[in-house]
Amino acid sequence: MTGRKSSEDAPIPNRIAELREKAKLSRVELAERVGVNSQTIGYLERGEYNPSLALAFRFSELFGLPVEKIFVRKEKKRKTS
Amino acid sequence: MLEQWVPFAAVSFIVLLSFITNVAFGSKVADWTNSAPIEVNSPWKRPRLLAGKSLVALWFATAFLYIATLPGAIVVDGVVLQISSLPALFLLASLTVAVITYKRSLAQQPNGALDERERGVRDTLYLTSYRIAVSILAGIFLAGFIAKFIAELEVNLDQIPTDTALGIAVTAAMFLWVLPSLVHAWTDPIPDEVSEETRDAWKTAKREIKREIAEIRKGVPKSEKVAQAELRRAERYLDGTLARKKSRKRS
Repeated sequence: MTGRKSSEDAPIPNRIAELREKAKLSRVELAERVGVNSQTIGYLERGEYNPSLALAFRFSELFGLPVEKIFVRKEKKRKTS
Repeated sequence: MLEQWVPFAAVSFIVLLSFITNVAFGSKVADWTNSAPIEVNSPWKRPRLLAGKSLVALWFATAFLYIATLPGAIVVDGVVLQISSLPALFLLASLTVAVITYKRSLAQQPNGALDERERGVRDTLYLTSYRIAVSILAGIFLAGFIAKFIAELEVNLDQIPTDTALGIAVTAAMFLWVLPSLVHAWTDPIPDEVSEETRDAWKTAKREIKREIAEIRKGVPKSEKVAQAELRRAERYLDGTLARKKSRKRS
């Protein structure tokens, strides 16, 4: 019963974990600020759940970034050295 | 006589408890459960110890035990069977409470107590439960149809004693009630979020310890060589752990 169920619900990569680390927030603190359970933050960070538009905007307001800077439609290609 | 009233009393108690925790004081209970210190890991000890699948297996085993020990179900010694069904019923009632309270009673919580992901999970639980219940009902009707018209067996429900029928009905009612929670307990992957939280807490603690050591070192005169050496060793220990982690990540 995780957030991911089928290929139609493919995860949208996000930078929540990175931005949370930068903001020096714990999962519990971030969860309190955006009004979700701390478990949900874990699901989001692992890409196992795609948030609603309302929740995405709450993250946007909290981190002071546009939604598209937090959630990306395609995973960026990893740099190969 | 007692045998007839105990199932009703047990179920009534559970229903009342559910009403009190979910409807009457739903939000307060949810606040209390949500505010539990997850970092400390304590609220997750019970689900992790009593993992979902074993809890579900235990519930079904107890339900079968209760039905099997009902009066009339096994005709060996009526008196012994009548007495033995009572502990089974209490065990079943206790396990029902345990299943219902699994992972903050997610399957039984109102909308206000859940976030959007949890609401989605809960709704999926009810859809799955509905499908399971319908499949079971269809299976029972199909089995009855096969028994009566294909195998041409004598199907006479009147032969089932009232006490046994009552016990089966109570178990069925309990089953339908806890079904979403049973599905939740069975399908829940128990993610390793706790260990991630613990890792986060450990990182924070390490930063704090290093800061403390730096403060202490400032206060210790350089002439105190032993103390300085001990503090340096402590710092090296913390740095060394970090260095090992970094090299592992690189590889």
